[in-house]
Amino acid sequence: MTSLIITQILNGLTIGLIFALVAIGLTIVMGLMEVVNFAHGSFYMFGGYITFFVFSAVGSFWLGLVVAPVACAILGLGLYYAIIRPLRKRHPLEPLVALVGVAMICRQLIRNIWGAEPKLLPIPFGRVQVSLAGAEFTYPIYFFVVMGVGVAALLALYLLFRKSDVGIRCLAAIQDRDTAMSMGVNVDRIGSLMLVIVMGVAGLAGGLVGPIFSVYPTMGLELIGLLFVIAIVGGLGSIGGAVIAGVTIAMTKSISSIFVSGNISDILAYCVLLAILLIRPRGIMGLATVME
Amino acid sequence: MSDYLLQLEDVHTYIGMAHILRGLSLALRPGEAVALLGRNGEGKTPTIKTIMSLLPPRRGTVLFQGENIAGAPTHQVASKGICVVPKGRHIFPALTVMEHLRVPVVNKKYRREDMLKQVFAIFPELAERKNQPARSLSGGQQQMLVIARALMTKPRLLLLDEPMEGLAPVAVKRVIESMKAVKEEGITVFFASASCERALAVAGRVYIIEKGRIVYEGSSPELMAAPEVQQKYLGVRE
Amino acid sequence: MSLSPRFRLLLGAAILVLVLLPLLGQPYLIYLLTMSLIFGIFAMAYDLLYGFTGLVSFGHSVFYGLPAYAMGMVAVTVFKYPNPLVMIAAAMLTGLVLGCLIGFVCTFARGIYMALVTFAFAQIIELLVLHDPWGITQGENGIMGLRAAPLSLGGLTVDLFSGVGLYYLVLGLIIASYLVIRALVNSPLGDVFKGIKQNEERLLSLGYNPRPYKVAAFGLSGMFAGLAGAMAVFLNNSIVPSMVDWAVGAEILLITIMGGAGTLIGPIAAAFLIIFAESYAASYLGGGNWVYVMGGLYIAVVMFLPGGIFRTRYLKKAFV
Repeated sequence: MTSLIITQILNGLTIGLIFALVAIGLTIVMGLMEVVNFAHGSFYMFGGYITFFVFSAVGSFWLGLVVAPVACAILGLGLYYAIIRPLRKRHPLEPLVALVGVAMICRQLIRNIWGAEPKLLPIPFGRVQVSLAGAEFTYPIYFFVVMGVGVAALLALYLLFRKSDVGIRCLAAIQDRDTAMSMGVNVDRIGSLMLVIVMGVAGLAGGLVGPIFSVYPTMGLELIGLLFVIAIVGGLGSIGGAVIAGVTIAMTKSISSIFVSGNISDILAYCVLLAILLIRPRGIMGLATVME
Repeated sequence: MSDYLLQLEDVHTYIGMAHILRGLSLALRPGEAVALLGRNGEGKTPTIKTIMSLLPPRRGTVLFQGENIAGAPTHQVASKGICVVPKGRHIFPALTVMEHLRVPVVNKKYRREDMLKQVFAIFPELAERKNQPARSLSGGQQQMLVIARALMTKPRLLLLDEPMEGLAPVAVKRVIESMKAVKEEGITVFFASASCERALAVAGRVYIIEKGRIVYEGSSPELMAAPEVQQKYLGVRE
Repeated sequence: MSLSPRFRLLLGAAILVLVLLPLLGQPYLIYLLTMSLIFGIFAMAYDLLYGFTGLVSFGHSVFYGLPAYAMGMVAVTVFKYPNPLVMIAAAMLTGLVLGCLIGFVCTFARGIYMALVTFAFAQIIELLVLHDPWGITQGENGIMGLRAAPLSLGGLTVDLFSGVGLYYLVLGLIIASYLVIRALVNSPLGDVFKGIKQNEERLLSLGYNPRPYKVAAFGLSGMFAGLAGAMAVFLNNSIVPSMVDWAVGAEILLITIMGGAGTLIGPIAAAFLIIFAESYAASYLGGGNWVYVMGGLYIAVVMFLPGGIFRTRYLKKAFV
């Protein structure tokens, strides 16, 4: 029992970090450009499929993991110029409608190319013997690798937002767009840059989960609602908040799944989110004032 | 090229359907300190926002150094040498003092280190609190911070929207000192205020705005000597 | 909102066409028209909440699907009393009560956070319906074979399971709903709704507490959405979990924005556009490729018709 619980905690941590990585992108884009990027999940899916494609063509999963974020970043730039930029002066829900259209098209595109069946990527590395808190069990090494990459990516984002000019200006614009612009900050340009970065991150996350969940055409759409909640519960533009929210939700799901069926554990996860939203109506790190 | 730094000519600005600025004209010479006086709701903040292009005018011209900037993107207006201290301060609550000073885009001609040195010379209290979150500062210190933030762009024209509002008397004194210091640096100062007395401590010249139009223009001594004008446009309405 | 004589004429002509169309005698056309009208009612319900009161809900599937399940409880799973009037009343009441309840809870939060609370509710309810812990929703199978008796209204009898009968009933209901909702938004209550949309702070300073009004907007919107759900049950003769799928709520949001929020007629027009486009694209393009058409349609409408279908230049001219 102890080993099962510890396993589920480790699983929850791994998945939670992935959730956080993708959700941060959503909050940045939402905070900075007031765009509810429904196509965000599609880029997560693209990441998974590009990794799979590189793996099946060249045989290297790791190369795929490098190609996926780069390709997604480029696609992100395309999305910016095709949809987001032309609609940037509209009511925030209008780009949302267009982006739903994009997400629908992306899913079908993937289905037409690779079919509807899930594509499984083999888990690299084997399992390792773990002895923790008196429990002995084996755990896939790859999950630790995912945690490591996830933490590294989060750290990189943290440094970007706290130590670089462009990151600090981005946070400033999220908190007060008009004032940031008055300080000479070109918010549109930072927005396009940030979109490229977070799309790359989403692609990386999609590639990372490939061996864990396999890749399939609805993997993005399935997750987008949950990610959206995590993003806002965490607080717009807050990396720490997204991590807390992402890990909380993933933990709730994975630990409760020991005791109850999958559906009920999902219900519990949403109840936790509901509780957070009602106790802290502006998110865990509630500093944001945009989109009220 | 005219000898004015900034010139607003017959400016009409709308907020939604509401016609807010109705043919406003004013002009600033390089190096002056000018106050825009008026009661609340007469159009002081929209004037500032119109100059910054946060509220682009529907008609009229805004000439800055002879170039029409009406409707230009706000960040471009800022890069041409206008910066603003918005009403209600508008700090970025999650950023530290030092991070605040990294937000403004510094003109390529200057080095940020030099600008920081200059700004900290005017506001030594900020240098001591570099790594403190801005939301933990007192109201007066926050006001210093937003003025410092605006100065980081090395503007030729500094706009301040009600810089003394809601501050303790000590802090007001400090704001007035710093505005004078800014003027000493050769930066043109244009600020909105509801309080005549405090404004005259800094400004050499004043405009009075009512219902989106300039209704009075004069030097500070002239306005000081005209209590009936003060009462008519700025006093408590009967 | 006032309608110009020209626009009234246009509307009258549209209704006349809708009345005459069944004469063509094509059952599939009738089916699509009925579905469009049902989504039209649903979209108006959404417009009341979003377009007029400014409240965004990401969980409107709940108000469409759960009333349907309430009908299922009345007719099949619990009370076994398939009286159509009772079923419709149960659906509308469920929508109203549910709207007030969810409205009460979610209006603790504001803006996008409020929208997320509605989304969390929708997820929880969808999962509950699928999981069926109390044995009333019949899980993934849904509830089939609702044999409601014909609806009798003052000598007029409508067989709810004949296509044309139901079609005329729904046509009547959408006109009635339109008139009721229009009267509502033009009433003093509607002024408060619009006040909430425009400037909530100002309402507060005028001494209004906006929350009860927000709850009322949710309740009323839920009630009309429930009516739409009830009609969909008669049309499809089944209650399936996909009715509470949050994608339904998302679709109605898209339809409302595409049509032009706050115009009532616009969302109805968009409902027709979406239902017909979806069905024809699906029958001409196999293998799910119709999704390209729908995705493209969403993108194109937003790109080329800012503010929605109803705010295009030509319609605007006819409208004012």
